[in-house]
Amino acid sequence: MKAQTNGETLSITGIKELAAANSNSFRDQVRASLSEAHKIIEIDLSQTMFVDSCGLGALISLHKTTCSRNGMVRLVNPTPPVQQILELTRMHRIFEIVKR
Amino acid sequence: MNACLICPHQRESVASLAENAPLGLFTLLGKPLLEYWIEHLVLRGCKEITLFASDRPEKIRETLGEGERWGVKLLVQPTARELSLAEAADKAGAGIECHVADSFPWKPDQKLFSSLGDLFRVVSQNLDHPDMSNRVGVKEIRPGIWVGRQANISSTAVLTAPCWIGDRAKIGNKAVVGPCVILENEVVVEEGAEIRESLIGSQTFVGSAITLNQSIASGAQLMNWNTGSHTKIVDAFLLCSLRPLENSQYLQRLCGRAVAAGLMVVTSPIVGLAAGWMLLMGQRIVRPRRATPPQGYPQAKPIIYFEFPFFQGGLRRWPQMWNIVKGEFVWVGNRPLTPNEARKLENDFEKLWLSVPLGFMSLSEAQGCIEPFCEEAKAHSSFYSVQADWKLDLKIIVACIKRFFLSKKETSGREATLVKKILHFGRTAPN
Repeated sequence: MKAQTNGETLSITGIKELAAANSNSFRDQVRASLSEAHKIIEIDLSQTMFVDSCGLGALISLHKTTCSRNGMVRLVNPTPPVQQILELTRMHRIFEIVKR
Repeated sequence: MNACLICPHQRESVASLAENAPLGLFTLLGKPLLEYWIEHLVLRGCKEITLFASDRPEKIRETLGEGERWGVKLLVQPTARELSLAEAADKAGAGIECHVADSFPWKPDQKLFSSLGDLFRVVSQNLDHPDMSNRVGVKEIRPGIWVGRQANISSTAVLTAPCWIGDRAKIGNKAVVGPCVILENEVVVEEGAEIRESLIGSQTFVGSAITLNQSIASGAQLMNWNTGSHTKIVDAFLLCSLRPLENSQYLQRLCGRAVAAGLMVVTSPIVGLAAGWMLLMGQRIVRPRRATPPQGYPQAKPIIYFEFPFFQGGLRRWPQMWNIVKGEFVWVGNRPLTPNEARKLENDFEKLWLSVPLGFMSLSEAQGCIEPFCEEAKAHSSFYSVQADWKLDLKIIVACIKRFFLSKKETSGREATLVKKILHFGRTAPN
């Protein structure tokens, strides 16, 4: 996983999966990379082939964190299986999903 | 009048639908597809129907029986791969009509399994077909909403036509179903779930507050019929199968593995002493062998197994119990073949040898075949591939124990008579 700052945005890339095995460490690493200046977390899901309820939990947790700063979590280019899971669980109504 | 049906197999775009059962047994609008075909052929006056099945023929036989339900003689004939119409016609003989059961019989040109989108479109276009809507037990509770027997629909659920709700389906409070939704038999939709333009396979659980749109869900498999994307849901509270752990076979194998492990532990001191003695005498203790993996085995490379050359009978195979423990062998199956021997299997009939798991004991041994790869052994192996059930397994175990440890031969019985017929058929079977 790589984190990169671009103004107010913290971009996260290189996530292969977001599941029970790595969701906690993912959430903690993103939180550790967050500074006061960051309002938006942009998570690139173009390489993510698998997400489960723990992974969704981590995303929700980050969503709450950013909401408390008047910010947001943006999911970029989710793969079709991940998009399916986001729609199944209605997460597409919570997160901004961007296709570039 | 006789007819034959080719059961669909290896349709890549819908492969995940065949995870639990062959495509021919996939339930569509309340019935497995093959049942529509059998009923159609019976109405046309067929008295004998042959089903050519390459994917889990035993499951098809178990589900459809021998045709008593329809008053026909139904014969499930396993094949090594899905036959073409020409091959099936060739096998069935002159004057017998052949069909591929990959569409509804009244619309043979609308293929169901060419893509997920086609499957959804064809099924949803046939919701109002007389064969569906006039079925005994199906009620049209509102225009365009058909409900099967013993379905339980909450009064607060919102149903929008057209939709099909199968037998014993259950729809919870405030669930939204429709438009264009097919819920097959015994589907459970939890409170607040929303389903639109989707097909939910039989015995599937749809969790609370889930949204399914343009989807085909069967058990934990979730497919989008519009994009063709596919994923497996691991969280059972979202989407899962309600099938009872169909795993009598799995449990049977697990028991077999446990028995093998137990027997190895109990007998290892004696075997260890004998092996140590042979080692002291300068003899070779184990001989490695390579076996061609059977169909459906997860790896393509040969399976390595060992035997004790200094023992006779069943004890010679003592190390192969380790293969049973590892799940590579089962107690009763067809004996392993070397890659060379496997290459010598000439036609579909002989290739059935590799359609069942490799066995510690086999029917050909139980029937007293001396040569492990003779014509008779091939016929016994093919017979076993087609007719295997627990009764036959039990008979083989008893006969093999007698042969291995009491040196008694069992060469009589129904199997031996049938094998003579099979030998004749095998010689005449096309390549």
